[in-house]
Amino acid sequence: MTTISLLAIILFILMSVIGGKKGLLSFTVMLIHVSVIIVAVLIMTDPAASPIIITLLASVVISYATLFLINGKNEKTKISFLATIATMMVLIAMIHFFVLWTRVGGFSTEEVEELAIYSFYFGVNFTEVITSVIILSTIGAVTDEAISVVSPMYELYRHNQNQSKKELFMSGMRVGMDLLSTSANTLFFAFFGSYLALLVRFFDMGYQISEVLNAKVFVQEIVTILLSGVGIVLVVPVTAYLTAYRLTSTRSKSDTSSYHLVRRIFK
Amino acid sequence: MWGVKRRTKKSIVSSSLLIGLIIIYFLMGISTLYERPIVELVDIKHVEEIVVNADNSDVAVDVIYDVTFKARLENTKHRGETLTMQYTYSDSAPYHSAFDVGDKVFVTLREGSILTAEVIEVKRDQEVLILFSLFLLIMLVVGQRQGLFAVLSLIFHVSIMAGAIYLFIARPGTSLLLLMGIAAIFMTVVSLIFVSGLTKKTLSAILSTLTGLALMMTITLLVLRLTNQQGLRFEEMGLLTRHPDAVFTAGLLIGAIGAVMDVAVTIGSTLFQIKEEHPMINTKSLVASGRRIGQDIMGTMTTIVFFAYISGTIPTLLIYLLNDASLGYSLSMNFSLELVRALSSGIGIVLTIPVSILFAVLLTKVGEAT
Repeated sequence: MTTISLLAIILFILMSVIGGKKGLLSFTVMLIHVSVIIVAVLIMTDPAASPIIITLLASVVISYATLFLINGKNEKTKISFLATIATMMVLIAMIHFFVLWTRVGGFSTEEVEELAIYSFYFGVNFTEVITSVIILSTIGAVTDEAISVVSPMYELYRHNQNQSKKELFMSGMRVGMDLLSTSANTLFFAFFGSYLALLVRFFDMGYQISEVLNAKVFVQEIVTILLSGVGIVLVVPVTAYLTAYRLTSTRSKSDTSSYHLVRRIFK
Repeated sequence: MWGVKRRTKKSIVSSSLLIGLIIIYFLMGISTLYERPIVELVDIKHVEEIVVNADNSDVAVDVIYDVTFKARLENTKHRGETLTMQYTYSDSAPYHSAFDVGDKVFVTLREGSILTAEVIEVKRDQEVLILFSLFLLIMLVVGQRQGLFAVLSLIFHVSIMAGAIYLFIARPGTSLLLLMGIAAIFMTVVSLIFVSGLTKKTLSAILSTLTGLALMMTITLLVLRLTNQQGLRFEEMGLLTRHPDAVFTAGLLIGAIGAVMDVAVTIGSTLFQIKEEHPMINTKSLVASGRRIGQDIMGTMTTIVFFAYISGTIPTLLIYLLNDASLGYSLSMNFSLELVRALSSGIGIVLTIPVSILFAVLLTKVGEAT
């Protein structure tokens, strides 16, 4: 048996025993994510297709699967979905700008050495591919942050329905910022885990700080870490605003609609 | 401190930070401070364009450009001299990108009868500094106090890990996994105490994180040994100058610390809060609450680490597929290590759920007995 299949079986058993039905769903969603990435890469092999557009579509599918399949389709997940997509749009523009500006598109010298036997000129835009990589590294964390802000805001609204839009927004910001450190840690440590080999190499070869700060392979990683950090910060105000807007606009419509909203929440 | 108002202190700190960043920016602009030769491009001349066609057809997919640069040396003893350089790039920019006049580039010098040079790397440290400043700005303005915490903990964790790698290089024969294990304990204890103080809740989170990580590593290492690492392709760690195995297992541990800590803190703090609000709650319903929270966060937590790991494989995967390698071969060559990372972290995340419930329930009881 291969290492991967044994680990997958162990994870499957643990998820279904500890997580029950939701655990099984989470495992299924993980399989969906694997296939989304593979399909996205297959489409990217066509030089006519823009990697960024493909990634944007993939992000929609990924965050749809994470939110709606695991947490069910309801008001809260719909807002989280909207907030995730809105944040990703802003983030994509920022990421692409910085990838172009710091010129970290494409492979680094270190990677090219390893891929020496392969041909590179197929017209696939590798600057956009690097942007796609950074977007996809962040999508999981942004989605998670969105749902973690929406849920407590609904809970707070349930306890006090007289809050103004501004008050709701501020409490959403507080909730989101409390989660900031831990969300950033989750993501950053995962990056460090995969960059460890690279860091060891840099120490091994005795690189100077100026070499490190200019090396494409390293700067790609700095850009990934910094912009994913920006992503999980930006999603908080976007989500808090959308949730506050949604909660207060439903309330002001009519008595019957707010009655339904209250009933739905208390159900 | 010294009777200075908090607001004033804040503005003093932020303005000195800003001045510091500006000074570094200007220092980075002085080429003579760098050891490696730097040139500034003065003129770019296109020599040849080669159109690349798709397989067996005349559909143009890419254009390769051969160019000649006229460049001025900015440092070394040849400072101020001009030289010509050859350079090749393509529209798709898989490796080299296009340059503009005025760009600064690191080169290797060839001192023959005439001075020539080859491009090594674009000079991009000033751009990196600007990006870092923007990151700081957004973190501090939107994130405020919590954003500052996130930045500080990032710096703290990077320095601890750099220290561990330094020790690993300085003392040949030390196990990187062992060093990272010690670093993990240190980082967990310090960050958690820093965030929520020396309380029973913190103790419960620390114990849960470390137990969760230990269980995860035991299972993963056991599986790696039992299956003889079958199907794992360490080629993708080929850039490493030493045995990839040891670095890989240490990376597994580091990669999961954040996620496991997140699970431990989320479950622990909620259970302690429930206990505080309902002191008479029985163990059974406390466990049930913990399990519900665990089920809620399990899916998104595994998704976060999954994408953080897997997306990095896309560029090489693409090159394999573009060179007509089969999907199965491309995946097995590029995906295996990242999948092991993702699965192993997933196991850590899921196992930490019951562990956190156990420690939270035990430690909420400790207070009752006295």
